Amino acid sequence: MNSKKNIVLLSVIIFIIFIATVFNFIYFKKTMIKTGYIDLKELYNKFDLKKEMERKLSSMQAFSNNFIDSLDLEIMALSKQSDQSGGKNVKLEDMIKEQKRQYLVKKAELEDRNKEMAVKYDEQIWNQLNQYISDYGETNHYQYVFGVQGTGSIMYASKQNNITEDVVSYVNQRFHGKK
Amino acid sequence: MNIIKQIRVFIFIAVLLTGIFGCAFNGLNPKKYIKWVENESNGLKVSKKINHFIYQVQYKPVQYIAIREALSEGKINNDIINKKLRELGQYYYFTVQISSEDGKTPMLKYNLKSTGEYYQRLNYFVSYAQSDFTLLNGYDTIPCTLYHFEENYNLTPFNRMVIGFENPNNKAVMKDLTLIFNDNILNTGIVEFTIESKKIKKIPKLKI
Repeated sequence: MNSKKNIVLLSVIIFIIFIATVFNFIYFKKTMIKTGYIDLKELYNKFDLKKEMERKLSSMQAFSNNFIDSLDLEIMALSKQSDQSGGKNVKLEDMIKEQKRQYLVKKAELEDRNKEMAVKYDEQIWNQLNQYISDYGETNHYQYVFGVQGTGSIMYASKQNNITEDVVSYVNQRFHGKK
Repeated sequence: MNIIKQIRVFIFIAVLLTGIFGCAFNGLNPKKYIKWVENESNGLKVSKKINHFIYQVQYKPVQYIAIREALSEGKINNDIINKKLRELGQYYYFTVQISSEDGKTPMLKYNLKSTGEYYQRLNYFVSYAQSDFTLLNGYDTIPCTLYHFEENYNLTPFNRMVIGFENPNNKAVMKDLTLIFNDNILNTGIVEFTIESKKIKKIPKLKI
């Protein structure tokens, strides 16, 4: 009879502990602040849009370089002609001067355009990254997602809070419209 | 006796399940078909927000376009639908909608840096955006051959483009379709949307 009483008592205690644990877990989960950090440099370099924009930019730069090289070759050919005539052909000398001027103007123009495009592409990459990171935070119920750049804004963070790999996979899937 | 009873129960359940699923897979009527295609959870309509603009892409099976047209004309039967399907030809069709984030300002007027920018945007979407759309079907890149920008005179916060890509011989979709928009005006860069082939394969039959 006594042992039966003990079993009932033990069961009640176990049940109370179980309820308390469940309650504690739910309450703790609600009040817990979920945070994570991203290595921004790694994220940026592994973002597929960045890779595509880089390809676009380098093909644009290659085109500019070819154009500049062809102008340079023309000047070299004219200079050779000028050397052969001993620099006495005034028309040819004027032509070389004009070509050199054009070369410098075009070179500066193309360099400026390439720089402008690089800035524009960078802005577009960050526009998309910022949105996808914010979507990631929202879907995974993060209160804060920090960006680490090695500039001292965050001095220490435990590696287990590093969510870079997960975010890289998420942002690339979002970029390709797969999520 | 017990075995006979079990067989009877089994037959009853089998008939019941066949009845339920048979009805569901027998096809959808036009209105239900439209609702099914437009339901985001079925995966033919996808969207994303970038740089304060919301992009929404709707993949449109030819049957969907045919019944929408027939319904708007007020006549729908098998002959009309078949005729329309022939007219629609061998294409993949999409509607791309771009709207402003605030849901009020017309997309072409949203976040303008100058008044000239409005006309640049209008000009771009009317005349140049077509060449910035491509469709990736597995490893095949298909250029956009049908393009129509719906000018709504800024009455809504969104603008729509109806676009089409050739699909010779109406091949069945075996691989994911990725619509790529290389935006050259809203500063969002390359925007991609994937319509999964498994979702396209799930499109129900049309019952008229």
